[in-house]
Amino acid sequence: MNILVCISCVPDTTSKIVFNDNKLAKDDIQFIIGPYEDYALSRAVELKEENESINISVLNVGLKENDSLLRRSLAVGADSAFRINVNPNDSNQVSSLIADFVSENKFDLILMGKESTDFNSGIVHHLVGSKVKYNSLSPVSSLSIVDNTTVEVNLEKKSSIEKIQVSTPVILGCQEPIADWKIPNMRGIMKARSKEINIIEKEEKEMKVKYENFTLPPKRSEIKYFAKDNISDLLEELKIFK
Amino acid sequence: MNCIVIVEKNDNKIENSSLECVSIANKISENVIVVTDIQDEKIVKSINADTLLVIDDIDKISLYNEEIKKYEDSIFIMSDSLINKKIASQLSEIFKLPVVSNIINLKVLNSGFFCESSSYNNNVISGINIQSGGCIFLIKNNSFEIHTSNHKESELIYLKSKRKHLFQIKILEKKDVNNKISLSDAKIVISAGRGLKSSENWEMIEKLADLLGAATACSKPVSDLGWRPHSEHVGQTGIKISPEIYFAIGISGAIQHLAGVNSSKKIIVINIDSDAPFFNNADYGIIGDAFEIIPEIIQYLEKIKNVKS
Ligand SMILES: Cc1cc2nc3c(=O)[nH]c(=O)nc-3n(C[C@H](O)[C@H](O)[C@H](O)COP(=O)(O)OP(=O)(O)OC[C@H]3O[C@@H](n4cnc5c(N)ncnc54)[C@H](O)[C@@H]3O)c2cc1C
Ligand SMILES: Nc1ncnc2c1ncn2[C@@H]1O[C@H](COP(=O)(O)O)[C@@H](O)[C@H]1O
Repeated sequence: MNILVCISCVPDTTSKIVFNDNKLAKDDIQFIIGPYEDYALSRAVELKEENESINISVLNVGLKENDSLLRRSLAVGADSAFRINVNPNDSNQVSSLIADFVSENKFDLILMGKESTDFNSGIVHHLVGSKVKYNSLSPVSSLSIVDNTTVEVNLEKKSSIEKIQVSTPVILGCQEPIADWKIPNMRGIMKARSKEINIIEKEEKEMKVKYENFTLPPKRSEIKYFAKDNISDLLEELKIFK
Repeated sequence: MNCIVIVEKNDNKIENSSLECVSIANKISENVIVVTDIQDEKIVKSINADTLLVIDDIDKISLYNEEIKKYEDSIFIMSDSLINKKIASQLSEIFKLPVVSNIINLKVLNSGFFCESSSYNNNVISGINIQSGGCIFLIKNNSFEIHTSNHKESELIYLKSKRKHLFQIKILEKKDVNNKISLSDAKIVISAGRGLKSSENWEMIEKLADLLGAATACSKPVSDLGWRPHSEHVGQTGIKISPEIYFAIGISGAIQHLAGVNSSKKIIVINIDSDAPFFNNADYGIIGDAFEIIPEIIQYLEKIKNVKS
């Protein structure tokens, strides 16, 4: 079984996001594999631990600075790494590029995160699915392989969780508790060193969606404290009575 | 310009977030077409639109592309919900339109659109320009006011598709999440963290939520410990919500938690530790023991309820 894990490289969850001249101030930021994609990758590695014949590829749409995180994915247990050398502009562009890659290579399972933590669109999986005519399900909180052409997942819906069997190829947006995050061990790190990162060159197209400016959300006004015995005043102020 | 709006149901009622979308559509377009799978004619007719298209299952909207294609020069507006993300992707492929998510502001320009999208876990507002040619806008819940405009005389059309859905899946089991009120749509959310010490203590949280018609939520450690289901976990790796009012009880206010809740309109923090970081990101604070304060709030609300009834 061939698994593709699509990772985005995003600012660490604790980073302070600053934009200067509408450009993300990258220098002060530590980049990580998106937390949801880390779950997806970890689950793929767990499946491979159960079944050695599984092959895991990781793919990122992004620039050279992301290679260290692709290498980290190899150290965690992926077999090969690919990077489409284009600056990611928006979900529409990223999904077109991933869709082209998926059409040219055969994968049974395509694992993504539930959403990236920069654009937070939660839509690349469905956009890729619509383009390559694969089914896409998101968010899924568990994944197991039934046989060569079937997987079983827990699909989270608005007011229910469904246990579903679905045939491959399928695209899944992963979220916890699908797996525990994995950290690379020494052996993995050594093994990853000798592996190559495959770079795919693509032309940058004109974007329909143009990010023009980035601003910070308005600050909250000064906090107002209420003492224990003035709770009624707080509730009055909130006007939450029906 | 036509504006096609997807209207979702919630127990056969109209979802509040969908009403937001209808309101936006009526403001920016002279011809509003609503697509819905609500079958109750009375409810459907209460939606303010020029045309009401009723289909059997909103999930299968792509099967109706011929009917929808009749409305040329259209943009799509729908709430940014799980199901709409999938619908939007299908429409994006059929109509070759880009999708933009998390919209909190939308303006029509002479040529194209300008919108604002909440990104980087609600820490940044991105200003986005979309060239003319249409777009699919996914609207973030509770971001727009609902204006009631004059009710239009609308045409009601029932559509039936003869074709089959492309993908077959086998549902083995379906478990309802026992949230009486859906977390992502709730106006008020009562959320609690590790400060509550054990799962039994959620009884008072549920009671408070009940009294306020609120949904319940929790921090990540609480769901990791199995005190509450994962579906209630909010934050960076959980659900992102933007209710009118968010109560954070016994939650420290870690940055990963804030990432999921910081676009709530009003945040009320109840914490025993006056240095808890959450107080730096709140509108109202009560410093004290949740085990004293929550029962007191409950008592107060019950009193008011009794007076009213
Ligand atoms: C990559 C990553 C992703 C994460 N994603 C999430 C996420 O999505 N959501 C999330 O919530 N966390 C997430 N976390 C974890 C996060 O960093 C915090 O550890 C977590 O939010 C803390 O939960 P808590 O506030 O419930 O518990 P604690 O930090 O233990 O805080 C408990 C609070 O309760 C207060 N308290 C104690 N007793 C009482 C009492 N009697 N009355 C009132 N107050 C009391 C304490 O003063 C304290 O402030 C993530 C972490 C990482 C690294
Ligand atoms: N630049 C990227 N390269 C590879 N995969 C990506 C990229 N951006 C997003 N993805 C994948 O698409 C998922 C959904 O992203 P989004 O729609 O941006 O929230 C993410 O969790 C990733 O798995």
